Amino acid sequence: MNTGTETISASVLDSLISVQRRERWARAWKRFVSRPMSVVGLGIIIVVVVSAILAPYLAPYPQHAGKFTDFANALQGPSLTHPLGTDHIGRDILSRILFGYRLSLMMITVVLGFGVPVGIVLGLVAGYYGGWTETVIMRLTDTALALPPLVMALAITSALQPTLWNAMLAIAALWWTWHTRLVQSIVSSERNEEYVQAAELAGAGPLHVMFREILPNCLSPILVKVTLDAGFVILIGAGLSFIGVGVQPPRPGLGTMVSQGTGYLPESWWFAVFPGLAIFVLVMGFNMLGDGLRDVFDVEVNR
Amino acid sequence: MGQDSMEKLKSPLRTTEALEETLRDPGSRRSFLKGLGAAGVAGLAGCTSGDENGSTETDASTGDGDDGSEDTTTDGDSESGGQTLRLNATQRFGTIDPAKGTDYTQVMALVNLYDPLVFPDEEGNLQPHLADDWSVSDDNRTYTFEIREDATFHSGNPVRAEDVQFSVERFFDINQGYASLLTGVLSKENVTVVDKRTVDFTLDRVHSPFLATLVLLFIVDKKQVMDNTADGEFDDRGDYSQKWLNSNDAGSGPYELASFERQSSIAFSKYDDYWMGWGEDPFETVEIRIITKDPTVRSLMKTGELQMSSQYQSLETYQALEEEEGVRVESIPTVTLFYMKINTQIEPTNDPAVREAMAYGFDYKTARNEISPGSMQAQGPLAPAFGAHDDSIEQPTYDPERARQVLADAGYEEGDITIQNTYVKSFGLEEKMGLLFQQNMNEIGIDVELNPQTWGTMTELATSVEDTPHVNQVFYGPVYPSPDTVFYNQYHSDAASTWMSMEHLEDDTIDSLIEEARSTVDTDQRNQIYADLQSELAGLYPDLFVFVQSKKHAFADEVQGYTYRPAMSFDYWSHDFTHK
Amino acid sequence: MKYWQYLVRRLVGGFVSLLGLSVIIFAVSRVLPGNPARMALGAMASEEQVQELAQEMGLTKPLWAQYVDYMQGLLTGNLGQSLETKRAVSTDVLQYLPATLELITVAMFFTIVIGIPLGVIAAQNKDGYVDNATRLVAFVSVSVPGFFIGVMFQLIFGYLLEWLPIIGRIGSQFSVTRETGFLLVDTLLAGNMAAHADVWIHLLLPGLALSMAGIGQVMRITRSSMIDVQDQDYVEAERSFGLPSWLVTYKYTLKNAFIPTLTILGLLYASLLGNAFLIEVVFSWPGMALYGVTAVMNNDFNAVVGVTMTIGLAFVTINFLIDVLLGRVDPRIRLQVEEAT
Repeated sequence: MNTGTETISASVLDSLISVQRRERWARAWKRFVSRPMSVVGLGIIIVVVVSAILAPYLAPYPQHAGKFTDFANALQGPSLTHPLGTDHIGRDILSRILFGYRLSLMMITVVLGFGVPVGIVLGLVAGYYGGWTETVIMRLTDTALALPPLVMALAITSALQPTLWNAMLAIAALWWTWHTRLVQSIVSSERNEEYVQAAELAGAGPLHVMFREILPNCLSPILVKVTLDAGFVILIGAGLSFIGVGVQPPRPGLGTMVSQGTGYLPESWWFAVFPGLAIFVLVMGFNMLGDGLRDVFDVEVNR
Repeated sequence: MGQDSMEKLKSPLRTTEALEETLRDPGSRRSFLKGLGAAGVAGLAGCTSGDENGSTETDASTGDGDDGSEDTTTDGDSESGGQTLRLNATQRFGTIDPAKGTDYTQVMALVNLYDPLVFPDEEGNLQPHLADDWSVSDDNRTYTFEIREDATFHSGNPVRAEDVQFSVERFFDINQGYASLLTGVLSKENVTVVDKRTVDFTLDRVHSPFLATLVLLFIVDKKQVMDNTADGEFDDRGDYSQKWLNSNDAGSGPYELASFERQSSIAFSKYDDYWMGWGEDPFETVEIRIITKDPTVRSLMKTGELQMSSQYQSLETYQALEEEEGVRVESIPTVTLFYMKINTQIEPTNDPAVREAMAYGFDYKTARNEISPGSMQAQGPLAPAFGAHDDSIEQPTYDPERARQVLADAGYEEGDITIQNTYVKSFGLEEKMGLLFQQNMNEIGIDVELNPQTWGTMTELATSVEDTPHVNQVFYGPVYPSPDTVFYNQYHSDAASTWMSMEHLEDDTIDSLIEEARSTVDTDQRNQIYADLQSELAGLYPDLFVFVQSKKHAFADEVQGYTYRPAMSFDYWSHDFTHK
Repeated sequence: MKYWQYLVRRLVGGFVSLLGLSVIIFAVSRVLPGNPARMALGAMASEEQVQELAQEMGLTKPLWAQYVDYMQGLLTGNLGQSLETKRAVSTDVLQYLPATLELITVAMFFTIVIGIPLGVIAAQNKDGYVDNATRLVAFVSVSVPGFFIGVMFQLIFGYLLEWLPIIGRIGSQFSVTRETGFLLVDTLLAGNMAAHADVWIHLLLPGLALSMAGIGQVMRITRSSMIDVQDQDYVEAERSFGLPSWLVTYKYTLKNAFIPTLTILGLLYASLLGNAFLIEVVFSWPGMALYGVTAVMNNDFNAVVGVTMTIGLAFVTINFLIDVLLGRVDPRIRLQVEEAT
């Protein structure tokens, strides 16, 4: 833009920019829908989320996810009454998987719900203010990034009783680091773009600049990352449960079920296999979705 | 785990039903349990079961040391010319010091490396072992033992009365392990060497289970121990060689220590000069590996890399192994009980009504038939196989109606009560029990939180009344061949605060009955006291007596000679085993 | 900034990370439930005995004093004594570490040997059938939980087909004296070829299972960087000179495309340390993971600390090495590659 912008009011500038933005989103959506893998991914996620929310109604034996035993029916293979078989306590595996999805989604929500906003805020602050603030924040981030995630989560969970909640906390405690890094790198390059300077000239305060000017430009990479993260969180969570420091029996954690199932191979293979497949499907869904989003936004984000 | 001397009926009575029938007939039962009152059944369970449960880790983690490469494993046809017996255990060997060992793996090692003065036979009677003869004074307070001539330690030194005296002193001075059993009964000054091969024990008071307790006194080589002491608190005896005995043996038993990796395995090699001599085809080497995961045990038994399984594999594993060629599974009745021990001192389980409700609200049948098939109904804390068992005491059955009524009468409403059920993490059987319990209690209006812990934590929680959870799942059998241990270790107020006595019972009547029994020499009189004890206890509901264990072992066909003895881990005395 | 400045900065960063790690681990270990002294002595020990040992172990000192002891120990390589094994933790770690390293290295080997050629093929058949097929495979390999692949391998190749063993590093009929702890090496040193073969057989399933996720990533990175390079002029030029196609591919294109791949491999090695945990558990592999998890389960805090610090150290070291090598080449690439994963 040329010097003529100084005479145009900030609000007009604002609305021009937001129209551009809206158009970009619309184009992105079109591209997204044209790729089958992305759509499949989205489909999977929607199905899982809906099933998880409606689990008490969809599950054939919802009480099997709670205080229930039926030893006479233990380790039954897949059949009409139990499509995915029963476990060593006689509980229906299909129902437990549906409730297990609830736990998985809860894990994602908690971990990302905490980790992402914290990461974004730190990244924004670091990138915007630069200088000493940036150095401190980024050093802290690098330090945290240097810690092996699974091992750290293991150590933390072991100290505070192994429960699902503590596992989530342990994972969340490290999750913000990636987002901080990501946001900071974007922000520090956007910082000096003209639209930012324009806003500042127009009298916008730092908060406004950070959150209403710069942040929207970060949204697409963040969105992609969050989607891919979701899959990763599930894998780590399932891993922790598998080892025994995540979801504790008798709660229907997917990783926990696989772990218990390994004791009954190979005769009662369904006990370990189906929950494992359930994890796979969910993670695959997130990865497909995330990959699709990335391809779509890459074109837009490409400068 | 206690086992009992139902061995007599071993052959024709493999099946549970036949066995139960025999047990129900007082005549035939008494006939095979004669000595139970005084010298009979040796069960050294308790701790063991506890500890056994203790180190079963999560399904997904194990202390498995199944990297056959690290340990020096001798393969079957090695140059040394002998065969190796490999078996698995499900918890680590905490120590192999004879003054300290208490649980099932520890005694497994000790019984092979060391000899006690007397040894239980298949029926639980005490037979001469290191002592080839003994006599008891008329006042029942002095026991005189004659040590056999031909016994030697692995070091070559002969076994003398001095060694016995030294062993007792060491036992009391270190004061760990089972030393507490003889506190107040024997003082070390009262063990006297009469001559080279004769030793006297003069008790502080009449103690009917004394002889039975002696199976736990493993005799050490005094010379060798004194040669290997390090600096310690015992003046001229230093540390009593505790450090050295951590990884060596000073015994006279049929096997010597060959290698020892605490977390993964232990191996013994045959002591050729063993005083009892050897029959045909004994095993040159015995290797015990710690394997907790069922698929591993299964896979190794299948390939022949393991020849005998532990008794703690899952049902499914035994079923699969039964189908396997070259492997057989034996089912052995024991006198170990599986309890749900209730803390009688904290709320709300300090209310007998709550305990009574719990006792009647639990589905014993499902527990026995589905979770632990082959096990037998329990009736009170004493296994029915004991001669001293009283058949007339009340055993709660599954009666949720009655349970609800009891609670209502006591003024409780649904949801008022929340309790914890603690068990050993990832021990499948206990997890299932916990779930069944939770479901049953739910039906009568009690909320249950399941609380899996490591065995180590459980034993620690037991040491304090406030910390002990409401309900604890424990396998316990007689610690020495006498009903006394079933009562004293679990219910006497002096013995409170161990994992064996998580009930923290403090009842004067019970205490005095136990003490009376201990000083009663006449068997019939004593059994009467035991009968009274059992009915008193029945009214208190300190536990849920869930079942009497019937244990299973898988064997490779070429392993023969397994001899069941009603004493914990005395059936792992490898001198018995031969190979085809 | 200059290279050495960059290095120093990274080095300092590495130390800070380690320090931070040590503080966190220490804090964690002191919060572990259970009284370690009692656990070491066993259930039958008396109160006085427990107290005595607690004092010996330094548990009665104030926290900051304990931390100082701990740091001192760390710096001298003394990680205390494990409550379970009653040996020095450092001894235990040295005992179990080779097993893990061997597994990880073999997994890396598989990743490279399978991932790179697949990536090359995919690049050459860009958008073709093969490309899409490998893309799908890559997806799957990244989405499958590592432990699940391990379990499936056991099920299929172990139980069903009975081709391969499902547990352990070597059959127990072999006895190998331990020189380095790396069985592949030790069996060679002993000249025992049958045992050596057996070790490889035992390494196959866990190694493959562990390499799965990595294969996907390596494949894709190789593919995309190959594509970038392929299109460049000098490649065209070489081809027109009549150089055989395979030569062009492997010698020239791949070499230049290799940098991002190298980065990924480096990062992978580090992350494998974490993922090996799950695989080791599935296959009862007697490595660090098993030792660490057992320690966690038994509240053996010295061991937990030992394991975490060791892995943390390895992690930081590898990250540092990557920075050293790549920083030299092009720092932007590392960031790009990291973001791409």
